[in-house]
Amino acid sequence: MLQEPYIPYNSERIEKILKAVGKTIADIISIIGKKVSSTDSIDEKSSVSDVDNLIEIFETYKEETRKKTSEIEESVYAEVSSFTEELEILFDDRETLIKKYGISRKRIARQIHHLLAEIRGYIDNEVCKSITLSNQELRNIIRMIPGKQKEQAMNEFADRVFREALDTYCQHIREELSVFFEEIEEGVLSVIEAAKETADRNSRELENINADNCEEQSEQIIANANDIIIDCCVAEYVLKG
Amino acid sequence: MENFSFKDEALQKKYEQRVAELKALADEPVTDSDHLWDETVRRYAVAMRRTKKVLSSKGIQDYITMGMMKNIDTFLNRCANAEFHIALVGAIKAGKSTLINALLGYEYASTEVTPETASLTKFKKADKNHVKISFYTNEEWQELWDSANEAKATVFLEEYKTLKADAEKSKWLSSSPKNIVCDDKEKLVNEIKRWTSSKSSVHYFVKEVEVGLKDFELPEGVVLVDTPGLDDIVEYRSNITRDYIDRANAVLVCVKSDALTGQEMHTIYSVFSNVRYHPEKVFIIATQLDTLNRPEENWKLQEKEWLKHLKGRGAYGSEKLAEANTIPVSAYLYTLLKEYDTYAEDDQNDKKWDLESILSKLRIKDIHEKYDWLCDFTNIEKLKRTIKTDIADHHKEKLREDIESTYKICKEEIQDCMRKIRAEQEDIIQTSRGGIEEIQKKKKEFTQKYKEASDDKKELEGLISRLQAITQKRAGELEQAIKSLGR
Repeated sequence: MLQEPYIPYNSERIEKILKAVGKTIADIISIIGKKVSSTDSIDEKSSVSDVDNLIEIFETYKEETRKKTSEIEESVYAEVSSFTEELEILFDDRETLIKKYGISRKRIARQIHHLLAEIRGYIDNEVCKSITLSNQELRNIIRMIPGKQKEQAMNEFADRVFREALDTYCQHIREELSVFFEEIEEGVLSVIEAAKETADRNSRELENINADNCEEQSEQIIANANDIIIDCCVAEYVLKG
Repeated sequence: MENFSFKDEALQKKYEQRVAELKALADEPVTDSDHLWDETVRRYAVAMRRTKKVLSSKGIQDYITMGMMKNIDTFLNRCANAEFHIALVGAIKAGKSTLINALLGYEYASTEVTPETASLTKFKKADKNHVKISFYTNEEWQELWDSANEAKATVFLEEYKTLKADAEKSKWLSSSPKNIVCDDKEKLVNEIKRWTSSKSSVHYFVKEVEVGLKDFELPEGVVLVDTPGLDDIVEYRSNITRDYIDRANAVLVCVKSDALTGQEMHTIYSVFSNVRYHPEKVFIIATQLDTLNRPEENWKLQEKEWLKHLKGRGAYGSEKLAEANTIPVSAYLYTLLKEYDTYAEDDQNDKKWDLESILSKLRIKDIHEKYDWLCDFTNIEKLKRTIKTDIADHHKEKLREDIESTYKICKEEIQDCMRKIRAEQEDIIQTSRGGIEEIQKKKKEFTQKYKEASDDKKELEGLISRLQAITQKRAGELEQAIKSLGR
């Protein structure tokens, strides 16, 4: 009997990382709020250098955020990797069974690769898509005159953007995991199910044969089997191109 | 294939018929325009399509899993949908429409002063000239309407009222896409205008317009997309452009080639924010080169200024990339040169006067002598080459690699499956020839196999679902911890 799946995660370490990230992000948001609050009102009519200066503030913020969000994503990556490694161990332990049913390890490896590729760079990308001059709300904030109100508006905006990015990321990972398991189940279990059905069908086919009708029935079975063999040969021939 | 013979004449006849049918099926020519974008891919797609036909035929289809059929369909879809989307973005009067027309070789897009594009307009190759219009659903329209009211989009709301668009709302919302085949280019232009012009009441409800062109001068698979712009006051519509930029294979940002303005930098930086990890897919197109006083000299100076901003980290983040991806063009001059024969003799034609004026700025007296130089100067052919090599060919290569590896996996899976089925069937034939005792023995074996497969399935199913449960539990905990960061 196979051992129970074991996920070797270190929850304390991850909690620690997340706490530290949370604190730094709060600081980063407060800094961008202060910086933006001291800029003059900026709109479409502003000079190129004013727009450049503002973009510089945003880029510094994005860069700082990226460093921190990548720590979150690395934690998630480590976790998800441990799940997929466990899945691979599970299949390694069942190598004979995998071979017996012709389950494609290559496809599983591809699905794992796809899942892991979805983990990094997501939060940062979400934040970037919101901290942009095409965002109406941000445009209203940068149009405000310098001061406390502007700082508060920017803080609230940056804070919400970050929270929304985290929410979207979590949802994204949840969906990816769900699709992944669905595909694994489909790829692995449906193959075994098909083998089961084939055995059942073959067994039923032979059931009607007795000593009296053996010759006649056998010929029919041979004809059917032969049809299937021909189909297989043609499929292989076609695949060769 | 082994040659069988049967005592029973009917069976023998059936067998021979089957072999002939399958041979015809396998050798049947596949005429499919979907995969013409690449010869290798076409070969794979044809092979896979024929294989699918064989595997779907009566008899063997019982042995093929749904998963395998799904994988084949996914593979065939990937082969067919080889489109390379190039989004065009630009502020009002940045020369976007003139550029589209120069690239397509005909005035399909309106160059009138009022902004014409309120929905995505996709230009692509087709067998017949046609316009396909998709409309918003009631739900989508409600979101758009809320977005317009929230933003207090006065112009949008007032024009909506003036054009009495509300009276037409129920006619278009949630209706099926409309496909209009056009016999000539003029009719096509009128249809495009009818559905996209901001002066027509129906345009409010149009979500997307696809323009199929018989004469398409860009490489196979390229889809040129005119976007409503990132600065649309109705956020719902600017979000459509934003999402599109994110997904497009390349983005051409049209900016007038004189001194950069704050508004243009707004547009440029907004595009780069949306392609965070792929600045290389953005091309800054410095348009209307011919409007500069001394086009060549002025642009040289202007380019230096532009690069100072474009090499910054809010844009390309690299001087080399900024230089490579900034392309100055004169689309109008290109069109004037291409149409020269049609108005050269007509002294009253505006185009002739426009051309004269540009030639004088370029200090050119004889157009015939400098025709090739002028065409080069417009850079439109260079831009077309960039679209072909840097965009279409590059993406085709990546897609081809992906398709090749998927084909190999699919092929191996099918071949393994075929070998397994064949071995089983040969075993059955062997058994059937062995007499009743052999058959009884085999029947027991099948029953045993059935039981084994049931047990194996149960075991793996249990393990996978336990692993999934643990994963989900842990993912849930992690999600809570991550979400608490922002609270």
